Amino acid sequence: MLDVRDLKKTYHQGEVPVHALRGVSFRLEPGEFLAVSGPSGSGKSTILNLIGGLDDPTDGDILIDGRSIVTLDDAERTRMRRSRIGFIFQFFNLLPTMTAIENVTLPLLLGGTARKSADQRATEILERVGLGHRLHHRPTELSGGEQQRVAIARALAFDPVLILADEPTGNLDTKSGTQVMEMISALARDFGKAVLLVTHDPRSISYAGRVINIVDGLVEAA
Amino acid sequence: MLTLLRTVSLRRLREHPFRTALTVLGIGLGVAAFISVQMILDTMSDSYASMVETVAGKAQLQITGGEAGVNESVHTLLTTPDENGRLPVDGVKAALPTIQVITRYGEDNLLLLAVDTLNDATARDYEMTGEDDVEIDDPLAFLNSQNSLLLNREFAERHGIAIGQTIDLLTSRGKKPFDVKGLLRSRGTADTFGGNFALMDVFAAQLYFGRQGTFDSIDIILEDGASADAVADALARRLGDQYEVARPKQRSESVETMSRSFTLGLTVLSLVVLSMAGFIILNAVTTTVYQRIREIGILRMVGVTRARIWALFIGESIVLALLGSAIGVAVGYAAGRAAVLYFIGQTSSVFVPTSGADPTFHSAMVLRGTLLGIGVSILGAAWPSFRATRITPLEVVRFGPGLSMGRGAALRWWTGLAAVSAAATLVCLSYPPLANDLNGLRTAMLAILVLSVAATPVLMNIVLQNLSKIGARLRTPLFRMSSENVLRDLGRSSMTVAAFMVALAVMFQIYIFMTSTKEETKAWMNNALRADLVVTSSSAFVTRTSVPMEASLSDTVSAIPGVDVVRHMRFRNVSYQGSRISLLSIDFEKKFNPDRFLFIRGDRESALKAFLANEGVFISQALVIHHPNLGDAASISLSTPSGKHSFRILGVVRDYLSDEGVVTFNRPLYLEIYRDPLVDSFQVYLLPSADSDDVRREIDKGSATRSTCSF
Repeated sequence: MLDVRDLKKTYHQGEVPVHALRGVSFRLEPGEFLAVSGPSGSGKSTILNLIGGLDDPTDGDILIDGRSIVTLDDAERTRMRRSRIGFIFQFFNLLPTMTAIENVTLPLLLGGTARKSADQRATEILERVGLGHRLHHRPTELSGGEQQRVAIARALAFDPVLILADEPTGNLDTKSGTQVMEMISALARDFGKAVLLVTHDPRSISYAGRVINIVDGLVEAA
Repeated sequence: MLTLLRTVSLRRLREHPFRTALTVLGIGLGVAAFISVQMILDTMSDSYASMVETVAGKAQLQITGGEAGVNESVHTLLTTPDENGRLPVDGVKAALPTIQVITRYGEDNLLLLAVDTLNDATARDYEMTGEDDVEIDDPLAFLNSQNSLLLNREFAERHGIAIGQTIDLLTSRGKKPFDVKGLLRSRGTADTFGGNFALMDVFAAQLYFGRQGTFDSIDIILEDGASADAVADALARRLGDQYEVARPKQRSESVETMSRSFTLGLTVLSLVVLSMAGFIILNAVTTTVYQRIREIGILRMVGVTRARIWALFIGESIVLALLGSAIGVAVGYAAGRAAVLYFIGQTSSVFVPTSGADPTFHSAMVLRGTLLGIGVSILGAAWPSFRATRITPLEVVRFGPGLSMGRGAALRWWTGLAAVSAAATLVCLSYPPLANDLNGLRTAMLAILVLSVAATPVLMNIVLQNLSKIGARLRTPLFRMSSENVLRDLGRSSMTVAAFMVALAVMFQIYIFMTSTKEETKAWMNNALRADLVVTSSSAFVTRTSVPMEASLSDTVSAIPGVDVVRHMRFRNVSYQGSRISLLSIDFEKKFNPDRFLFIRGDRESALKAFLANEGVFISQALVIHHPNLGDAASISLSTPSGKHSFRILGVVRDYLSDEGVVTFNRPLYLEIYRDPLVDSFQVYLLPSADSDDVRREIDKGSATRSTCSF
């Protein structure tokens, strides 16, 4: 499903090149929960951004369902991001002017789903993450855990094949963090999604089926 | 798209009511200025057109002779039947002379239409009621004596005038009494000029208003089935190029070219206000983009394309523009209405005779104003919206604000725009067909505006980079940091600077223009207006439709003890190649002051000698600016009562009486060619021993009909 091949990324800090990734390769299958761990600055978040089409690799290729996202133009990549990939971030990144249900329906409406169907689908997912009673609340009216659950619901809106989660519990208390991680692991286990989690939190890592460790831009041998 | 607009943009706008209100008001102000300026210009134009067309009644054609009028002989020629009883020009059923005069009654202007009382019913309908409110069948029969008048009923009621009453009106012979013989219903012709309308006999008007031997126009009624074009051609052939034969509507269209400076001035004003609105929008949208970088990043992350991001911000600016335009239209209408009442009063005598009633306001004006508001808004929002599309989701989501566009690229854009604008400005100002055309001047103004805006970031970049280097050399980190901070977002800083710059530039432009011409104008005024007293008719301005005085009135003034010399000044407007220029004639040989003429071209000594010998005329610098072909011309051809006449140009001089241009005559030459003995003002020179206050009192005592100004 996800095939990362010899991925390299070099940034420039002024005149100095910084090699964030120096040739990372791995595969991820549907229903699999992979955790990418490593110390700060090791390049783990870079992997996630490149897979999500948020950034361009310097070299290497990323295939999602056999299709390279590296060669896509900006509009095609945007459409792929909308329909095939779901994001969950540490800071939730919800649109503050929209209610919970509106945040979830937005990707659906952008993808051409009719308003009624989008509302139905969003309600269903929000109920599944336990927010059926908070549909019309704005992010500022929700707790951190609730906001992250809205973000999970949004990530699931388009029924993506791949879920990318970047430190999803980093901004939550232990109880909320546990709830969120259980939900994410259920996405792989119960719904067959391929889940890629980037974290250095051992408790979050413990939910994953497989772990790869990135050190200095390379996958550390197990 | 609408979902994003509703759930993102509109909610954001609501969350920042102050900024939203400021932006909306900025657009509103621009649109309001545009609407009110349009209302003034359109009202002037429509009011004049309406007056021409309503007064024309059923006349399909009108014969006019410019400011000189139409000689009586033309009327005789057209109305004398041959032995078979047929009029000499086929298709002409009736030829009806008219005179139109705008005079004063109380605080109101009054349009006095003088018609041929025997035949005018063919062209115009009048409904009159007598003392007992009974309908009168033949109103014109009541104009049976020279001083008879019919008045618009509403005008009469407003002024408390009853049938049978005598009212004093200003004529070329001073104030004269007129008997009100009846009141006309406010319909058709009698409703012209906002109802400030009076009707009298044309032959009496000739005597009272100095039109001996001439009419203002001859209205032509065609026979059934006659072709207006064919008859117009036949009349033109018969009468020669001295007279113009046109449909009433065509006459009113030509008026638009007559007030070019006025139109340009107002247009530039509204353009500047609109530009300011554009800057406000640019700044507001830029600020919005900065504040919403994270939001834009999230939208990009969840699958909103760059095109949609751009459309979202443009959509927002359109919403603001619609709100602003709605306010602008309402405010513009109210301001325009008030301005029309003021401006029309001020300008009716200067440019075109119109009444202040019913300001023109129509849906096309609303549409144009709204489209302009939207256009300016889109223009202002285009650049920051484009920058919003450059925001990458990654920078926002992971690392916070990272909005940037290579400064080099931005500067190349600005430099290119500045170069294009500079080229456009040069072309507009140096290529004669454009430089002398209103649209060319408008384009030049716009190009200068764009040039100053586009050049700002380029210049700021040069200045700030040098300042930063100086800061580094002087080891003043704060100074250096400030320069570099501004440089970091040059576009936004430049727009703020440009907005202030344009506002200041307009103010400086006005100030410089006023101060630079002040001394020159003062010198000219001192030489041009040397008289101790000036006697004018109480009409504030001078046109053919105002009330000039008879020259013989100078005898009364000359007879007052203490008066040394009385000069006769005639100042009238005429059409010249589509513009409205002025003719000035004074008997310069009396109290001749050679310093009055500030020469730009011509040999001073010989030119003055030839001028006093009535061998030619002086033309003003303004006339040459508007008609560059006159710059080196030996003569100027003008329409006169005896046809086209070529006058030798003796010199080009400074003259500030008219910005469209002045042709100055010595009075004997003017009288000989134009046969116009009327006078607009008398310039009175006193003996050294005379007391100007005493003389002024004597003049005022002798005639309460005029106003006297002392210098």
